[in-house]
Amino acid sequence: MSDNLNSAEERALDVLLSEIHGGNRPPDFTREIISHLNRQPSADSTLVTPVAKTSARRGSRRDSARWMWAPALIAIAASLLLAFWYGRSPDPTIAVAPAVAQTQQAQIPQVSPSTTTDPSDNPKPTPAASLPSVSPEAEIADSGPSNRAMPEADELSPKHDFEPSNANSRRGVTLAGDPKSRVMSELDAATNDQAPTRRPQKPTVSRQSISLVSKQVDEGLQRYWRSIDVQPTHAISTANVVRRVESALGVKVAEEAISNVGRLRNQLMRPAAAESIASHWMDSLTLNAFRRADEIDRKKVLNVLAEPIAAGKGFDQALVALIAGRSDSSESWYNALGSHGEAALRNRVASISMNADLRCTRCHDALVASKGRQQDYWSFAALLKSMVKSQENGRWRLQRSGDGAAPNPIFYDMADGRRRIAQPAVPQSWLGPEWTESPASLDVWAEDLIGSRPLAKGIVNSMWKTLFGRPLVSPVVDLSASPRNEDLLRLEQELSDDLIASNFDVARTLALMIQSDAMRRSVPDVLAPDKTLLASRDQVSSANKLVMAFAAAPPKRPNVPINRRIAHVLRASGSSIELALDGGPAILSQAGVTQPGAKQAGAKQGDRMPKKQRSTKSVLETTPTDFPADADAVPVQWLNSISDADIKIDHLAYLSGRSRLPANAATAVDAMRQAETDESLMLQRVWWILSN
Amino acid sequence: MNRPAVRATFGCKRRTAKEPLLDVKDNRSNRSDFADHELPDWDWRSTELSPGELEPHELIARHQRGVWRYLRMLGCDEATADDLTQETFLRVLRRDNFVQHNDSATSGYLRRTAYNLLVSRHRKLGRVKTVAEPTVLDEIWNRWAGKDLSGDAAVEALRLCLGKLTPRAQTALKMRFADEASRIEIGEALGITDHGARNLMQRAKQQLRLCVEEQLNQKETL
Repeated sequence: MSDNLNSAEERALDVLLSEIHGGNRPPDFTREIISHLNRQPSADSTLVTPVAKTSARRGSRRDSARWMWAPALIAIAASLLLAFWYGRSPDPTIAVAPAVAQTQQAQIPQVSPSTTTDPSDNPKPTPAASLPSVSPEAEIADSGPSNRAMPEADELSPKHDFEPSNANSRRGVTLAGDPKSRVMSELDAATNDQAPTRRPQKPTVSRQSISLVSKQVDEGLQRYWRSIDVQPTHAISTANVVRRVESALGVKVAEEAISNVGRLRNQLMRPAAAESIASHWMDSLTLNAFRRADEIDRKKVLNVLAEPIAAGKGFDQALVALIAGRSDSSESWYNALGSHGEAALRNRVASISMNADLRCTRCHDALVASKGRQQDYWSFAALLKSMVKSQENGRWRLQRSGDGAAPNPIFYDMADGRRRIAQPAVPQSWLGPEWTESPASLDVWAEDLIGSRPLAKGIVNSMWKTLFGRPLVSPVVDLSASPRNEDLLRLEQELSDDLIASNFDVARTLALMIQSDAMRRSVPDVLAPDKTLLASRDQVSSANKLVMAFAAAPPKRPNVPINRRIAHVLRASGSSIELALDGGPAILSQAGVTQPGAKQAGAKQGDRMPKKQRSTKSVLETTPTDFPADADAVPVQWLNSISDADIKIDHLAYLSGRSRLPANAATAVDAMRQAETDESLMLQRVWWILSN
Repeated sequence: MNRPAVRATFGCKRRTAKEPLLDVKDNRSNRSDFADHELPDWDWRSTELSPGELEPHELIARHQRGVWRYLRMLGCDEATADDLTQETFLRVLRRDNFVQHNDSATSGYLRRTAYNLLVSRHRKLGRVKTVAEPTVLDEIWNRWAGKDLSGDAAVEALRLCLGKLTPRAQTALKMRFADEASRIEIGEALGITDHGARNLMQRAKQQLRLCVEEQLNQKETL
């Protein structure tokens, strides 16, 4: 046998490799297939035979098939006759297409309940008749517009319940000894028997001394920097580290504690510190929406989260109780988390609980990262939807599992316009190789999450983000992702293992992060406000590379609210000249120059200037130093794979964690279009607006 | 009669496995080959299983992973493999002349059904797709993934063999299949050119193939 691989062998190998590395494992379809088999054979046949044959029934298929073409032939003949009558050249495609479409439509009722005109023909839409996932024909027949930017899901009503155990009772006939019942009960028994044995084993990690782990973290960071060939910037003073911690967590720790990781942990465990950490962590998760949340919701969530931080253990159990609806504060948690809509809610839950990034997969399979499948996204959405419902007043209502409602599948729109069904489940591929099957209920998922590695990674990355502004290991689609390699992943693994070993002692994890070399890095000189404009592009690029790798601290960003950012963009586009003449922001501004007396970033809320002085300031207001003045590339390279500029802008909004572009930001986009701003620069500015 | 037992049993008379299907658009004359409207539906409620035959749910559980992997090897994306796997079982289980002789025959028949459904799908969607000849793929399948009819053993063997590769080769394959990194990105990460990355992965795959076959053969002889 030749040592060289042939193409078929290579493809076979690639499939198995993608299964091992990419988590693309074969799903279990037993229930779906048995569920289909339980339907009437004639109805089922609509799913597996071409649309043109859907009306063919057993025993009279040939006759039916012959007759079903009759209307089409009549229509063709009529079209030709008309064309001849009017003296036009008949266009067969125009004449035939509607006729065939009508013929097919007439045969579709078994497939699509909505087209059924006579209720007696199909008194209840059966699950089989509404399951397009097994039938490309049904999918095509059901398809809507193919260019839907943001697909929406339709939840199936309880009458569409796919649970096999309900299949017979829905028809009101349950025959003793019926093979169907027998098979289904055997299937249920088999599933039930296997369920306990299939649960993943919890990782067992031995606990090491905190000093030793701290040393390992530093070694890991140094190894990472060496591997990507960056030289970290010089260290800052301890007093500056204290200030950074206070800015990130709202906790003022003693300077002596910075050099003693055990002592630092103890200081973070103080009740007031624990509450502040929980609050800042929630702000970081919710794009600062948590600080504007209802006060009662805030207190309830903070009480639950601060307790395990102060106790130095059990953060996983508290968090899972909130996520799974087991805590009295779960509804408040979801109200805080769902501040930017349903999609943001799902993204946040998946990110914290499984370290999964769902931003792309709402609309399509992930094209950059491999783990994301749209089907998985909507399966997870179906499961969450069974517990958390949005209400008209913008709040979220929790439907606890004790209420008796079984999760319903939902339909979603695929990128090509087809509709597909998603069964409620948490995709196994998001959880890791320890899982051999996808948890199909919230309770099973919650049990699996406690003490698990995906949860630990989610917490580690979100805590790192709270401290450093970005996760330790960012999803590859992110604009500001650190260079990913084995060393970085190993560091993430070490931190998450330590979190597991310490029984989810978050204060310990934070102490390790604060004590790490990453927290002591200074801002590169070339990124200082007074030097960045004079630096070469290469110098700035090298400095940014350091920042991306946590080998340098980012320059302090001016705390400019989104409306002010939009105003800056409008002004730069020449759209707000009237505002400037009217006492608004000046047209001519000097980037990078801060006016004496102007409000500085980070200044306290109460430090407001007198009205007269504010007016003068608004005229003299400067452009923030990080405002993109020019751009030679789009914010992230994969945007180049999208042709439409509007869709590129939409994707930036999704990347920022939003469901859509804010309306006022759209005004800025229009202004830039009118000013004929270069597309790369326009996208950079949109990202600048959104990334506040 | 020397016809293969599977063919004789299931009555797929019109097309033999030897007929290549390289360009499905060129085979429109065979369009009715796999239209099973001529086959009576299987009323499975009245069917009694012979001793040794699997119940439908057992049959699905036994073979679904194999069918899914086979479809993926034929070039299906995951969504299509999901669809066609379900459709394959529905087709086969609804046939009243479906007899389970043994696991191997059932597996072969399911794979052939899946293959034909894929070809039909390409036709219906009007796509010109090159689909590997089933005999070629069956040979690989039997040697590679078909030892246990599901491909599970091959996956396990591959997992074991991956650990024997050099760290660089492991990193390259992981980047390729876990992160879908391009060859250029892999090359950059490893400090080599994109051609170097390609050669590294190619050599790694050759080693993996030999190792997996060795593992599977060892398992068989034990």
